Amino acid sequence: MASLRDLRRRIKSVTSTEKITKAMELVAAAKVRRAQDRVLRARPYAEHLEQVIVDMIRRSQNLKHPYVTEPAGPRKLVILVTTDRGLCGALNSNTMRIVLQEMREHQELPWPVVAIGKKGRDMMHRLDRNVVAEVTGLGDRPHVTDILPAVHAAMEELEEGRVDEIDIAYAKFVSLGRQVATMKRLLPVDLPEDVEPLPSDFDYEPELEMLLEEILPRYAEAMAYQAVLENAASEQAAKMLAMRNASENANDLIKSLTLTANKVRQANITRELMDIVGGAAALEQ
Amino acid sequence: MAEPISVRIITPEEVLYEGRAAFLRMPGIEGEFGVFPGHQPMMTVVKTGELKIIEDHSEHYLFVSGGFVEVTPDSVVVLADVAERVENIDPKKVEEARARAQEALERNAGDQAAAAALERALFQMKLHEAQQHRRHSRDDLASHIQQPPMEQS
Repeated sequence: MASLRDLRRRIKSVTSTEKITKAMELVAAAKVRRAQDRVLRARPYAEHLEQVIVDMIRRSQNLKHPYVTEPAGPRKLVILVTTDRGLCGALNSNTMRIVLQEMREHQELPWPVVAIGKKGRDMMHRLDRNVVAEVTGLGDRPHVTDILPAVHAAMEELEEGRVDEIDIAYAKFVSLGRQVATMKRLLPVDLPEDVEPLPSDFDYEPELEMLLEEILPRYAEAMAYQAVLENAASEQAAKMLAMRNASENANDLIKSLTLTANKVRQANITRELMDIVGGAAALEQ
Repeated sequence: MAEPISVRIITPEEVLYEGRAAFLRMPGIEGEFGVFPGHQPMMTVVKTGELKIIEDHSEHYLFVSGGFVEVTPDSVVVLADVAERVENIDPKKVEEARARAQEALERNAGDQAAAAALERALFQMKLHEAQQHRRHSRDDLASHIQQPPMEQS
């Protein structure tokens, strides 16, 4: 059995760890609300843009653009959105697992990657994947301009015909307790069927095709930005849960260690008493 | 007077302004243009500049840079790349951005992103100064902002 001193030392160390995880839990809880709020506030832009694009595409017949024509082949580029830091449970591994699974199923394809976030980037470097572009250090308040270079690099691959499709993988924020690893198509635009048409007789200036050329990249950017925001909210939610579990585990550990320490202490006292009693008895004889 | 137009200024981050206006003016690709209620439906590009919204009894000034505007007879939606309320412009930040952009341009004169950033910073500074003037003298609002003549459409 461990000595009393060792046990006390362990209790102290676990207690300080628990203090840290508790603090991290509280910080994440505060951040998750703000991150959620940012996701909601960013939604109208993408929604309105989508409405406008769908309408424009309906008005322009025979439009040929790599962003709207159905993918010509199976080659995909993945924009992998992960967190910069760990301590958020299985969040990143879940996202990376679905990406790697896709990659394994089609090993013959090149699978270039654009990495947003350190964890995914490091993973892809380790696996020796072709990382076309990367962004890290976005912090808690990612700005859309932060991710633009990476998104543009991905779009360039598509425009120059090196890939047929761009997918984005991230942890979708469902609720505080649930984040779902998601991989979905970013470009070419996946057009929904039932969108209300806008009033007709629109003047387009410059002409519709040129405008569309400008708007389509914005749409992809907005969708990617949305994914990054959701991933940030997911990160904080997952971190909150992971830290809560860690705090609970630390508490359990402290309890059982304290119990053991008390037993050892009592055993020590009993032994010392026995010594004294034994010594006294020996003198009497 | 005709029914006011419902106006929404949306950036990738948030809905910056939502309200009903009697008139608004913004920088289009062929110069400034104004929108009154009942405007011909149109869609066009927004440049860097000042967006002015006139409500019944108040005026709002916003800085916008890049994006699109969709106009219908009773609504205007601006999908801006960058937008900020003029009163929220932080001159310190703008100055920093200006210095950064200038530095980048000195290293590489062909840097288009830096050139655009510089233009934005200079314009923001100008709008901020105009705002300061407005705060001091409320009599002649428009005269402090040097702008090409407004194009009616």
